[in-house]
Amino acid sequence: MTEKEPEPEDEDLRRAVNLIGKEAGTAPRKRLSGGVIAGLLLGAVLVTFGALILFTADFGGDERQPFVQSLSEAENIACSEFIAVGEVVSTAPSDVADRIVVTFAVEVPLKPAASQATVKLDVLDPGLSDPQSDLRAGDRVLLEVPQREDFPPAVYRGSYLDSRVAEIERYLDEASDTECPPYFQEGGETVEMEENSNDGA
Amino acid sequence: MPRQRSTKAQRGASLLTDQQEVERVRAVLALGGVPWDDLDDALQEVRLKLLQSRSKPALETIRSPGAWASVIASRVAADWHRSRKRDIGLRERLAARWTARPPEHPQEDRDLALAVAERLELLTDLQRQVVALRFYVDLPVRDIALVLEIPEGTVKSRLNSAVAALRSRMKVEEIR
Repeated sequence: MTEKEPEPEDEDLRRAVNLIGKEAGTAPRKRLSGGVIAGLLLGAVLVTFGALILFTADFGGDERQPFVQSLSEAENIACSEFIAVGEVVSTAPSDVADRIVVTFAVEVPLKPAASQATVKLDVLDPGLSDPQSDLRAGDRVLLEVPQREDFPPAVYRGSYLDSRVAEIERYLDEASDTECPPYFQEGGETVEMEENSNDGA
Repeated sequence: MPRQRSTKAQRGASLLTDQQEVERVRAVLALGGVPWDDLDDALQEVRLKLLQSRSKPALETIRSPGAWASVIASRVAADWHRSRKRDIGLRERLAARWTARPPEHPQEDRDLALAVAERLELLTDLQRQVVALRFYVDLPVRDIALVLEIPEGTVKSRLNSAVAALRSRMKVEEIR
């Protein structure tokens, strides 16, 4: 079915709506208040669902593909470059904005099965998207670092850590024979937002 | 042993860690009627729903993860008013922002945006939702129908009535 071409006034409307959106999007942020409660909920869901929001996308043509995909636990592990329990020794800003270098003392390596006692990881700062995932020196956490550099690591701590480790251990064998879907692999296609793409209205 | 990760920025859509994506979601929330003071709370709710979507089968079929976050934001906005008051000061907030700092946009565009902002407040939640998805997120009608799980005709009907209401205001502004 062909959609009609946008009328000139639609373009005016689009311009106005985008201007409103731009202003709203950059409006001053308030500091944590009610958001703290939502953040706690978010943390709980992170644990409950072993949280990693996973996307796939198709840019190759007209064929419509699912772009939100639930990875299985095995795929989740297969798509992780590094999974271990340990202590955050220190964090420092990376050379790249929004990334941090985490010095991590490994206690229980899960993937790979063997690891140096201390590793340095340059990752997207998980605290940016979720205050509960903020990493600080002295934190004992389970860290799941995805292959893709533009996805933040998943962070588990406290009472949720052990249950998540048990879950991962249950799927480790299966994960060794599981392929990470291409989109989630390192070097997978980076999503570009289509500015003003217009398929008609 | 994990390698030292490269320093090249591979920024893309992820769990709303990209600043542009966050701003986009906040914009959709505001266009959907979430009061500006509630935007951060609503943003957290969007993140929550993004995470919850992991437990559901892959039903959604639109082009980009960023667009999917916007779709969820539009749903959060549409639901926001059921338990909370909706924004009734969008035009005033815009005017205040543009009064407080040097104008970055042509006067004509600002006037148009102010007129549309005022009129947006008179639309229903569902009309605002399709306006945001069509004109801000730039989703085609068929994709809006798909993600909202409603017939295309319903989307077009909501869009037509919303656009008619918005245009009427735009024309009034133009002849002043």
